[in-house]
Amino acid sequence: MFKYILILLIFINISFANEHLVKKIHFRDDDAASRAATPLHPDSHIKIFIPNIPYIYITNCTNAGLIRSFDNERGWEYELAKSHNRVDDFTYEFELRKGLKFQDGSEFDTDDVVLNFEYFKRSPFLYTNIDNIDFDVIKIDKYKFKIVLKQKYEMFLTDLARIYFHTKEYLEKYGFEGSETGSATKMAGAYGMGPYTLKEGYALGSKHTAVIELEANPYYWNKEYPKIRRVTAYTQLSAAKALEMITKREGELDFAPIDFNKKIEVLTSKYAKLNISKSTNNFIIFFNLINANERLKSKEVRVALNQALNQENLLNFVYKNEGHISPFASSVNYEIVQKILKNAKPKEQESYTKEKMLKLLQGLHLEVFTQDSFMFLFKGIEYQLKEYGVTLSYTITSSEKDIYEQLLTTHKSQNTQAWDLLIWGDDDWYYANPWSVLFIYEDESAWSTIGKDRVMKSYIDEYFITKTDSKEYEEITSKILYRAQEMAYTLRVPSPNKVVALNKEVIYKPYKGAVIPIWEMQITKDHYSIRGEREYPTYLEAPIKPKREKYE
Amino acid sequence: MNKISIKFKLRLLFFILLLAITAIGYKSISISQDNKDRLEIVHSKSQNLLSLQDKIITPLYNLRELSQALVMAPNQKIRESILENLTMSIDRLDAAFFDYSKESMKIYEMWLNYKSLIGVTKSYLNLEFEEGAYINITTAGREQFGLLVKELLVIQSDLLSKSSLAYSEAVKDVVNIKIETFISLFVILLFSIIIGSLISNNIISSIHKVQNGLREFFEYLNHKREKANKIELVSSDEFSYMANMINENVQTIQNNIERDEILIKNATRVLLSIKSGNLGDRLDGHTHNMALGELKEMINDMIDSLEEKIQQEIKKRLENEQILLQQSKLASMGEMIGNIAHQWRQPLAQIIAIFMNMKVTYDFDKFTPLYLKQKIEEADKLTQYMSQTIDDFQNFFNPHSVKEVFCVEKACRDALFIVESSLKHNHIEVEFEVIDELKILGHKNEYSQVVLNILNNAKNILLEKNIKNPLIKIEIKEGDNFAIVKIGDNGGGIPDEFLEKIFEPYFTTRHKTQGTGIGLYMSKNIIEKNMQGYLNVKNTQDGACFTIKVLKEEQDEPTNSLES
Repeated sequence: MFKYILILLIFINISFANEHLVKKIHFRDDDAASRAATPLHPDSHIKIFIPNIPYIYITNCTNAGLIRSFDNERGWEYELAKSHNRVDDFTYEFELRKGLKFQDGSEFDTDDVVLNFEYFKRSPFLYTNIDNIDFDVIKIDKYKFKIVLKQKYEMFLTDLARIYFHTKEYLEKYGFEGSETGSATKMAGAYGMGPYTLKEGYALGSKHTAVIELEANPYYWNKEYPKIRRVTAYTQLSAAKALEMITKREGELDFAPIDFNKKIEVLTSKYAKLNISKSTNNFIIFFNLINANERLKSKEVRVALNQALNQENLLNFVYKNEGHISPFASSVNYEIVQKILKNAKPKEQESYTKEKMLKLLQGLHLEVFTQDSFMFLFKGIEYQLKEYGVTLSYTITSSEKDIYEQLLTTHKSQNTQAWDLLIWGDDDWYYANPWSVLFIYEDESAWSTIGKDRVMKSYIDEYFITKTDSKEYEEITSKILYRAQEMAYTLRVPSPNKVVALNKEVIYKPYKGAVIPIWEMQITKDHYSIRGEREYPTYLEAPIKPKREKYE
Repeated sequence: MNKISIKFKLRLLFFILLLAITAIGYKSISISQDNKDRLEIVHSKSQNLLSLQDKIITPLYNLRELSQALVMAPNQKIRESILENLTMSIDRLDAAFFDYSKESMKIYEMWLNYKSLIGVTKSYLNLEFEEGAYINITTAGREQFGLLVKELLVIQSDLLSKSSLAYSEAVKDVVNIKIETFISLFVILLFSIIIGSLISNNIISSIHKVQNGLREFFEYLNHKREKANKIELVSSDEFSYMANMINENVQTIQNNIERDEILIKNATRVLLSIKSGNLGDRLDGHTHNMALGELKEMINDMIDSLEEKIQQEIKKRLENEQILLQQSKLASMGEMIGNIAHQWRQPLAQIIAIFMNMKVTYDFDKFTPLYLKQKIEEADKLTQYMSQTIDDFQNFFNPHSVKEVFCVEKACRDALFIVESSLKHNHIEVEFEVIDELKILGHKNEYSQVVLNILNNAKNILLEKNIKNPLIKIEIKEGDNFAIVKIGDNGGGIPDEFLEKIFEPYFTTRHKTQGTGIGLYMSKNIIEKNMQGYLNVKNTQDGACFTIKVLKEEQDEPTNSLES
């Protein structure tokens, strides 16, 4: 009894300030939403860092297609189209929204659709099979049209989310120059229909400017968005620099993906908060089977390398638990992958003994080409492979375009940088579809470094024409994934979560795939861009309990 | 001091020793008790220190490590295991800190706050907010832990100081006690040594005097000094009584010894008198020594007995001698008669032949006076020869009372002449070899008698053993200073066991009826006592060989006989 009375008295005493008693670290809830500023404040301005596939993230902001990738069951929502109807396997009928305008204020109707598709067909993007599909776009009226495919192609609707519309002026000036990395806008200007207008810079994939300036599009069809007037996007910051900018000082950076081992720095920052979400993004570590270390051409060596990695340790100690172990190169968070793992009987793979792995791997030296933001992962991999006598040497860049420059030229053996392993932050750009990963196994593609694989090609050809909601789709996806697993075409690592540092005064809800919905971002009244001369309130410096976004 | 008895002195010494031991023992117990008290103080301080370390500080560090491990745990399973240990650790520490709250409420407050921070960490982990848990444990938790440990370390340091102080004081006290103990011991020992020395010196002095007195007495007993002095002690203790007693006894013993010495001198004189053949003296004088008295009586009895026995023995010997001489004479006579008989055998036969010739001559009437005269002359010659033989024998055995220088060969031939007929009769060959002509001084007949004895012995042995081709060799030759006669035979020699005894009287290998055993004894006496020579025997290859060695006379000396 005495003990409890004593404890009660002490707790009363503790509640008063005492020098010898340390207060616990209080993690406050993120109340930014409750302090949201009025949308499109004239001074509203955020700065973001996009180290991976900036051309996709920027294009998502600056351009619009008939549909847009979205976090719903079907993986998209209508954008410029109001509705559509698939008449048969080859025919799609669309109805446009009314009152649509380009960023320059000019009206948009069916004629613009037909014109844009004409330009697209001349030079389509090269990362799906649409470049091999012929189709007609037929105007029905000012708001309606139909697309008739001339051959079966089940990825067409998803491709439509990446076929963006440009003004006639742009098309005449730049055309629709499709490439392996898509068909991003090549020049700043009010040429698209997305929520932001590209004011300065560009991001094309194989090249981009270090800074890209965006400005809110006043003609965007959805008046709810965007909510911030200006956005500055950086593409070539080093990971350390980006972390320092967002955590140490206010006003330098508002959004930055971070290495998993930097979470604490963000959490304890006065100005930054942590946003973690499950994602369908992927880390792809390519084996160069074209013109690299001859030993990598041995399937056994590649299998041994994969088996040498302890996925659980990678997840625990390198990913800091920010990810999930996947048996494939693709994220385990894809719905179809989870279905396959649930339904398909896994193919039995020979488990190599340590002696065999040592025999296969001893003395193997691999040259790694990577962005600096992935060094944390390679250090973990190097530590584990060292046990089997494998050594790594590194060529490091801070810009993804350098990665593309080498990756996309390797299939023709035109790469200027010798590499055995190359990592690419393969965010789920095809959105909710494992094609984001599967396309690297298309042996004639620029993205492939595996050489010829006729079996895989036959699977992929079948994949193109298989309906995504069918049982066959699950089967053919399974075949591709297991074939890739069997052949060990990549060095498999866990599927990563999205771990992002945000300015505490930014309101943001991430998408699980490769979309940063900048147009949905908001700032609070206390954001540095709009609070004027007012100091940043001290109470807001308290750490914020991070949000772990879930999508189930 | 001299008037105090030894018993009292020893009691005093023992009492002082007891007093010293008691004082030292008391001091030791006192020191042990002091040390125990000090050690208890040091131990008590150390226990507080140890208890703080064992029950609080070390478990607290362990808890810190566990709380960090909890956050860093790579999977849930490990985390649950750590959590279990952590909970147990908190419970133990909770109890320990509660106990310690009586000492310091501040510490208890800090502990409760640290515990609550660990609780916050656990709650963050339950919410899968690992980063929050990490930050909490590495910031607030770390800071509170630091403050708590710092406070504990201050207390620990204070306890350590107290413990060290107690230890230092104990060490200082031990040094003081050591000095005090040394001084006490020194005083006790000094007092004991002084008193002890006085007493022991007194006792030892008396002992030394007694010892010296006894030593002198024993030296006197061992004849190293002529007189034992009195032990002079001035004290009137037990040693004084002892000294007086010793003095009295020494005096008595001295008197007895002097009396005994007189008796022994008397005995010596008596024995000397006995040695010179006078058995008439007897021991007289008085002694208190019973053994000596008995000895005196025994010696007197022994002399009486000896005198009687000697008389008896002399008488017996004389009788024996008489018998022996008689026997010897009879034997000599027998032998002489035998020898005469042998000498006479030839002339007697010739005389008989003369008589037979005379009868035949008469029968044939050829008996004439001339013939008778011739035969009477022949017979007369023969009888003269026989008569001469008797003379010769008489001369040989006739003892001469004067010494003379005589020829060894002559003496030997005289002896041989006596037994020659007998030897021939028994077919015993005699080889007589004279290598050197030698002369010696002495009784010739005695010397010839010795040679005759040896020849007779040889003859007897040869006959007794029935030796084939019996032979006696006589050899005369000159030694460096001696005239040497060797008489050997081929009778097989003397058994080794008899070689030593052959010259003893009455020793004979022959039957009692045939030998007296006195011949060789007498021979040895004649040669060695009368003539200062040597008579020896040894065995040769086929018999015995007697050697007679007598100092030779120079050849150019006159042969006149000398009065002995």
